[in-house]
Amino acid sequence: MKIVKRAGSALVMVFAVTTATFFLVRLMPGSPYATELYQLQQQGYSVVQAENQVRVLFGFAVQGPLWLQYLHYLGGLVHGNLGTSIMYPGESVLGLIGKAVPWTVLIVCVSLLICFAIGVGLGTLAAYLRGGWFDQIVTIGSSLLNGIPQYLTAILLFYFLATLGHLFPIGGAYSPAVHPGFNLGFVGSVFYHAMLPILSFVFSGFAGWALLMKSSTVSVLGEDFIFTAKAMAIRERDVVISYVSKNAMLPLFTSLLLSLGFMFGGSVYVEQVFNYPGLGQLFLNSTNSRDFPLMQGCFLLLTTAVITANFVADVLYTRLDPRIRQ
Amino acid sequence: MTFADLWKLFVRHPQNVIGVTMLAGYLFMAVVGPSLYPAILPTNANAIYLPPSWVHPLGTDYAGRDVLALIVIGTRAVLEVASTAAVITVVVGVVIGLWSGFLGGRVDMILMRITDMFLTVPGLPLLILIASIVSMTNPLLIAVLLSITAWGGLARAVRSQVLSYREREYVEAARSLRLGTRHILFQEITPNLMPYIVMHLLLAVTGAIYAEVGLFYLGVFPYKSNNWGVMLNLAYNQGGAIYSSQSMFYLIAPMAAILLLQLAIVLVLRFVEEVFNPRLRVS
Repeated sequence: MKIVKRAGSALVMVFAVTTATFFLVRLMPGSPYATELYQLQQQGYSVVQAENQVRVLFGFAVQGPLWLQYLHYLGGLVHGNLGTSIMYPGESVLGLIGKAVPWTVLIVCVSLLICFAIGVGLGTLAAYLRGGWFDQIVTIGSSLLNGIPQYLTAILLFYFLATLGHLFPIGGAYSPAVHPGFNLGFVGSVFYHAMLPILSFVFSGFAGWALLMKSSTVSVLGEDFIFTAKAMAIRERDVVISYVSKNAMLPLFTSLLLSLGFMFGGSVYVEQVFNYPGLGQLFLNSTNSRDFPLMQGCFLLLTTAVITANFVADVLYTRLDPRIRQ
Repeated sequence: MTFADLWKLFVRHPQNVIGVTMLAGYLFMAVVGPSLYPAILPTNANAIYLPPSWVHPLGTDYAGRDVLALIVIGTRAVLEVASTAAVITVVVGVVIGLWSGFLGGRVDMILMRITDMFLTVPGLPLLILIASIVSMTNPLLIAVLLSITAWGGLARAVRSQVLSYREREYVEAARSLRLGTRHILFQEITPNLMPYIVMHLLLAVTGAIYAEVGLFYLGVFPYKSNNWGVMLNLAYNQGGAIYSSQSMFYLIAPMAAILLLQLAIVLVLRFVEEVFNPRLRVS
């Protein structure tokens, strides 16, 4: 019952964001219709020709009153139609997003897992050795690196390893020389191109996990059941694995899903630096060229992904931690 | 705590002194810096991307301008917006958190729903979206924009603290004396939150700097004056600096400025934490 209620409020949130975005984007000075009309006339079309062109491009609804446009947009959404792009004439927004999403998901998920693993390792060690030099280094280093913006790490990696070092490619998701498909050359090329974007996320992301894991582990170490386990002469290694880590990692699982929003946002920076054809770059390009069907589509997808992740985190947390279920 | 105690605590760890000195240095650069240089920096086509020298301690940029001068002038632009944004963030977050926690009931529910919404929507894309719609030429407007995505976490944290404080005996006593909501909120409850608020203010400054420089770097904001983000943007997109090893100082300088400022803030934050939390001082 609680899940249904949460799912309901997640849906309401998606709807609210959709509506807000729709009207926000319509506030933009110079409607896309007028902009396109103007551009076509600049390119030497006559007024009538340009108007016809624009009509074909946008459909008629763009000229109607705002509420009609809104209903039209919602109707399209329900049918999975997000409209057509202005920047890439003739391509549907959904198609463009579909092409971009896998790349973003690839780099975001892989780097999130790596961050998580490094952070948990460092955090646990620091908690065990707290007060020592290792803990000092990890804690100070992490609070410095924590939340460091991805554009800094990305630009540094790009500059030193890609343009100066010539060790990595300077753009794209795979080399034009390979054929997309499930073959070794393609998979290798994809990973080669994804390496630096992933590293940028890792450098800016692992520190937060280390700090979180450390504080979580320290608080678990103070619990009575750890003391009991030690008193019962259970092997130290078993205590760490099955008593401490499991409990300390619990709050981190929800953060894992919650940080997806931050990561997806950061993909704008990373993909821009590495010229990586993911959702972040598509979104940035669409805002730069005022392609607002595309802009709206990307933003809607990003938000929906984050809201879904929040919902899953909520549900998962009650499953993982029976103490919260009541 | 007397001033002497504070001083003793301050000089006990060298990192406190380092942090505060660095932060003071940045403030000095922001306040005095721009007046040390001419309003329009001289360009020199024969001296582009020079390596560091006595005349140009950090080398020159694509137009032959002194990189150190660009950094110093940029400090004011960056800190001005970031500190305004931090103050707005903290004020909005604290006020909403206080009201929500203290009043409870329907007001609480509505305020927290709104807060949740701002917390959920991915921040950076939202900033880019709004910045592309509203023309952001005014620093104050940029500060307001940056705080839109930042206040939610603080509001939630303050609310949960208020929930625990409002049941304390001294609040009960104040209530029975009919001291009024405003007195209870600002005289009885808020002082307890002060350490938290001060620390969050510092954190909000870093967050705002990151976001501000990033958005300038992406070219989302139109720019008239120079700041670190604009430097990065030009270095990456226009100067071709990213493809040459000669321009290393020009490219690295704004990033180093951000990182050193972050270092200073982290160190100051640790000191502030130590001041407010006596338990940390024992070890």
